[in-house]
Amino acid sequence: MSDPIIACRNLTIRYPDSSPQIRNISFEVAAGECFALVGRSGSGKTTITKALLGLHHSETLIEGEIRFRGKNLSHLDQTGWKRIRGMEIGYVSQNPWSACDPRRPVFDHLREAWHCRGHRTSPSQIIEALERVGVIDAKDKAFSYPHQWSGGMLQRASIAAATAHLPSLVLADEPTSALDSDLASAVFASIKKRSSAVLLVSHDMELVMQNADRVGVLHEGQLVEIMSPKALNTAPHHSATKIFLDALDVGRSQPVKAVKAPIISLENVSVRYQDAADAILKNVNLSIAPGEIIGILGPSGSGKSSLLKLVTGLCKCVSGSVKKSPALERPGAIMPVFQDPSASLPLSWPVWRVVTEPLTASHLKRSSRKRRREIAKAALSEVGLGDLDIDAKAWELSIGQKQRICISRLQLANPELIVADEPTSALDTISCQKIAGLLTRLAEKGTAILIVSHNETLLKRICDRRFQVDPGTKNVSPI
Amino acid sequence: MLVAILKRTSQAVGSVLAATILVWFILPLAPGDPANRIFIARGINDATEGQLTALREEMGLNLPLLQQFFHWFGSLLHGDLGLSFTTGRPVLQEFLSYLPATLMMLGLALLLSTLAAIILSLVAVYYHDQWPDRLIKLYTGITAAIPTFVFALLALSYVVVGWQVGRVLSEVSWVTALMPAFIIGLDRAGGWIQLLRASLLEEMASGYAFVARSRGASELRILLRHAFPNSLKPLLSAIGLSVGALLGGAPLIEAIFSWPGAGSYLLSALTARDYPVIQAYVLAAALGYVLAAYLVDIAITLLDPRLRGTQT
Repeated sequence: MSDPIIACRNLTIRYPDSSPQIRNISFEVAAGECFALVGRSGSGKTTITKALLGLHHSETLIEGEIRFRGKNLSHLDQTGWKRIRGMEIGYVSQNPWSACDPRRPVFDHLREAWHCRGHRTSPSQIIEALERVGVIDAKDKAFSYPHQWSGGMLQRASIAAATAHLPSLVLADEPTSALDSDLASAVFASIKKRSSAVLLVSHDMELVMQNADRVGVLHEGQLVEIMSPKALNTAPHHSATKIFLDALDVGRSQPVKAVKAPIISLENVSVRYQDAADAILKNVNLSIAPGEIIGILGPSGSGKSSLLKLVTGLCKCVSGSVKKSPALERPGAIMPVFQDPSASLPLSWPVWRVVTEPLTASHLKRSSRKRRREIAKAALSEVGLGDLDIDAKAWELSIGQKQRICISRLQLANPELIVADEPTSALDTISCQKIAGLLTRLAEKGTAILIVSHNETLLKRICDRRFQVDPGTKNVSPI
Repeated sequence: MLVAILKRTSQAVGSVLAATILVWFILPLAPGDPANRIFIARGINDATEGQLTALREEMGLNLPLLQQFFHWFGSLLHGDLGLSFTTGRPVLQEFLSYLPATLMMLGLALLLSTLAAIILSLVAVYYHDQWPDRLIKLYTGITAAIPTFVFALLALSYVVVGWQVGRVLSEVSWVTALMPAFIIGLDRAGGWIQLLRASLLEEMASGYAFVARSRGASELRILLRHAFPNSLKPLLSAIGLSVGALLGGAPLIEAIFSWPGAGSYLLSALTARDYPVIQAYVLAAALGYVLAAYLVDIAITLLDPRLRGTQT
């Protein structure tokens, strides 16, 4: 067997005066191999990625050995790292939009891969790099800004920048979690094409199963097993692996059949941006009944979010009509769940205050602080966070806990309709399962739920009806 | 877009109007009778009640406030700010003769403080948590704790009087404007550094900065090319807001340095209860504030492609 591209031996990573985040792990990635690290959020995947780029916090202590093509990187200084980063180790991040400076065209984002090393490039070289990873209309689009790109195309551009110098290893940190499932494999293929070895960090088991040659399971900072994806699926040894895999089976006990009158119905609705000529949605018909879970699937930019805005009343339709039941008129009747729970919580507030915020909406019946704390305690145990300290600040929690706090908060508003925009895409599979379970329980109590997601498996399991937004006709059709 | 512009403009006109109306009705509440002051200014210390009433009638001060306001506002629309009570000359003409000195000093102060804020914040962030950063933090702390006029008095007594550098001036030039401008700038820059430093640090910890590092970009490159343009928004807003504060603070600084600008003109008008002059200054300050806010809005829009273009 040839020398591995990268080999970690007894790697331990810790902050001073705290227990190690990564404990004594060893793995290697051979040339031509795709090695996947899977595990729950907080299991230490990102810590490893940062250490392999030499971008860990300066006070972090790293023990053990990182060997990259025979060279020991453990004691490399920043100048040495700079020589390796981008040239020999490429990095693809999770969210393509946050990976780009929002004030510069995508062209600049790519050009930087050359310019920051003092290399010259020509515009045609950059356009070529974009075309090589499958960006369509690269010439016209290159000079537009990141916010004007779709996620799939922008992630390809990021891959083109990360692999500009044909690195021998690419670290891909959840490279497809912001993308629709049908785009994910195509985008990932472009990474594999441009690099001889790939270290994939992901909780997208579908992607891992399809692409990884070997899978390492991380659990609380330790690498509990390394095996082929097939073996992982059929014969997992470690209990943590089993729990992780079980969580992939997100399930709904009994689908509710809707016979009640719809609480909201869209009739022949079209939506158009103010200055745009083309409609985003055309002649959409959709109705939602109490207790029903409706799933919306569709490629990025197909108008899914506009549909949600329409339902919540945040945008108006240009033609057709939206009929709402009078129950939706009161404040708090329609509540949203967002993709990024960190962005939808006041992070410096204690948990009890976050959860009971809906109670303060009415000026007439304000609850006392003591009462609010009691209500928070009860509400949290309902979402499985009964053990949580209600005085903990939201920023201390894991992302999965944060999303459960969001659900607990909206429960207290007693909504008739919940509108969820990719509620699980930032979460690992176990948290995803918990959120799905909570939403299902809410639906069984009679709340209508509209979910937009690119997680097809999730929608299949929990939705009563699923629809797809067709990017061509701009219409919504049942699946 | 047109609706947005109209809305913005009506807001601007509204705030200028509100400021002038407010001042118009508050001023007469202050003790002191303009007619009496005018006689004192003319050297007559014991004007009779008859003389005072005659003067009030002559100046229209006996009319109801509302009527006085509409009269003043009516002539304002014709570009006439009335006559000064004390000098009897047109206020607009007098005001405009004092204005350049003030604009010169405040403009220089704005320029100096902006430059200082930008350079020192960049240095502080580049040497984050090292001694240059700590030194700059100390400076911002000092300026936050001590009011501007203290610096002005210190500069006056030590630099000007003590070391005989420069003079206490009544002659207006760029060189003589430097001292008061420097004092104002020194004070202003402190707050702006705190603001800009914090937003630079935030940008340096953002996703795109991490990705740029992973491509091998240097910290200096990330700081100057990416973090800096992305963190200008709060600084621009602060600069816009401070234009109003600068115009309000100008009289104090001008008095300390005997700077013959509109601020000193306002101070003498205040003691003489010269209402038309005070009104003119308030009007100018409000206009300056609104104009600055306008320019900042435009600059922020131009700087951000997400606000500039259409959403797709």
